[in-house]
Amino acid sequence: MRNFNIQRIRKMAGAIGNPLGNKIASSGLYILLMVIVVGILAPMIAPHDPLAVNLTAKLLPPSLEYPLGTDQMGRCVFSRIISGTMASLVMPLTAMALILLIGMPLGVIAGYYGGVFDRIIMVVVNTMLSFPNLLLAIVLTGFLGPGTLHILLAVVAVWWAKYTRIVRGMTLSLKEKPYVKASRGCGSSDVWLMFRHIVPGTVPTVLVFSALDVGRMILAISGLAFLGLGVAPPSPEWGAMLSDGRHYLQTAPRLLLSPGLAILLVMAACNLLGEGLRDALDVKR
Amino acid sequence: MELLQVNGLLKHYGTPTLTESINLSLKQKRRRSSPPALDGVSFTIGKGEAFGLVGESGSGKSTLARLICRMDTPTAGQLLWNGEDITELRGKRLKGFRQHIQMIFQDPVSSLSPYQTVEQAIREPLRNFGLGSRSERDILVQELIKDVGLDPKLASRYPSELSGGQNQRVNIARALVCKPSLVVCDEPLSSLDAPMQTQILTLLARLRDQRALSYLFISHDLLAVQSLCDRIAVMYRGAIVEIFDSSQMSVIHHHPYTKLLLSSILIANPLKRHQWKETETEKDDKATSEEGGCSFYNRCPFGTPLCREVKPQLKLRERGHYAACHELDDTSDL
Repeated sequence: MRNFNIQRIRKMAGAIGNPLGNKIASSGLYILLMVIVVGILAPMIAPHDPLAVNLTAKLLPPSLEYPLGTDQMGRCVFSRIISGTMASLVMPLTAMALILLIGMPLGVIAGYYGGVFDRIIMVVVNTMLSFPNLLLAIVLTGFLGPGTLHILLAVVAVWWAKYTRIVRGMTLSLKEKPYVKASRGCGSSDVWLMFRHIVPGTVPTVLVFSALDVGRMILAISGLAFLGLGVAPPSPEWGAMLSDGRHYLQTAPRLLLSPGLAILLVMAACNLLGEGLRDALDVKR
Repeated sequence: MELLQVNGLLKHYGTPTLTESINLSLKQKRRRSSPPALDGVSFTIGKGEAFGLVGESGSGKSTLARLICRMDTPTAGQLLWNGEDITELRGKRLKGFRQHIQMIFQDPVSSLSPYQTVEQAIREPLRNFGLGSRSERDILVQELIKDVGLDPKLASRYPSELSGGQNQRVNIARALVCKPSLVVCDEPLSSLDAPMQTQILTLLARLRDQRALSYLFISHDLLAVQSLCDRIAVMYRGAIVEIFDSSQMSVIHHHPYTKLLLSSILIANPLKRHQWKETETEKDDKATSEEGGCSFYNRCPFGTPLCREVKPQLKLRERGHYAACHELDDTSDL
């Protein structure tokens, strides 16, 4: 009886510490949740206005008043980092949602029906995939001009093809499963078969890939911001902060380190979540 | 009026377009393409009749089942449902017709979607055919779950949480929920253990009486088929070689292949065992059905030169008994 209780307590503790049934995935999830909470609470937590310029207090070292010091314009780096969370994290997540919204249906339809539609889609997909991701995004933003919306569009345009391809491939094998055929024999329509029986089968794989890709997207968006193709200057964004800080590499390397470490943390969390999910859901590359 | 009439059903797999594109004579084409999965199968199933189909693996039983359920289209031949041609049905009319013929599959687990609960799976045909209101569907599903011998508590479980036998009961419930006239059972017993086979067999027999169902029951277990079915057809290499009433099973002169199947039934009493065993006959392997002779010639102990040259036709031997064999021609002459 006593043993049983201990086991139950352990199990409950395990469920709290390990909600995804995989320690790696759970740690990634917790880091991401923490970052998101900080991002949401940023206006309350931030000690200073992230946009307030104070030229008398520029390039100050870390202190109690400015936990991570100030930048070349005298703005509080800590406040800017946590205020930049939403821009740096929400954008990739939105982009991912859009990508799945476009990529998955196209992939399922192409794989399910085959034929001319499939060929046309696959030609477009293969063309998109033959360009290096970041390069294409740079070209697109260069073409559209900088701005949050344009970055978003560029990232979606670059990434959707990968998901169409993954989902199409899985659809090809899933549509031959006995339960899909059995369901068709019971009178199920094509749309019902696709979205009730085939799409659920693709979700674990897509989930793993999207967790990994959100990390890559954060890096890509920061990269674009670093190149000056991102969020409009005064509003805080990690990539842009990195870019601004590079002139002070020797005098104040913390201006580079702080946003760099923030990016690293979120990317690492995404990778942990992705890799962990892959193990937990037993998805093969 | 027969419920289902099957006329000369032929099914060729492979790539006919490829062979057509190359300029070959008809004879060359036939030689190059693989032998047909179904080679002119004809039979009828009456209302309320249970028709058994036996044969070894690869004899075309499952192909026949899929064609009858219109999950696949025949290369040639005709399917008549209550006298109406259903071979060419497409689109909405095909979808509507599916309500009348339902299928139970060999592997109970993989033929149920892993993303649907028992209740959702059984409800699906009702949703698809637009039968009943929401509350009527609920009642119907609950009744059927009890009727096939499932615990109502299992309704919200997923197939992976159930045993093979329980899953097969779900399959049966799903097949029956839209009140079909004919249920095609494609080896529903072969992935279950022996006690479970008996249970499912009893269940199928009871449901047939309660709901006036017709069955096309496919199996390679002659005893199971005999216990459930009124008539039995034996298939070999895509063709029916014998049809007989199941009451005749132990009294008539069977086709040599049926004898082979009968002798493979395991019987505990050695005195009652059939004596005939398959021997490795040394015959020219190339003399197969493609050359025009009997398809069973290679394995038949009675094979004569006639069997090698002329394909035997399915002929009426006595009341309710048809067989395609030259050897039986001789015995009936005597």
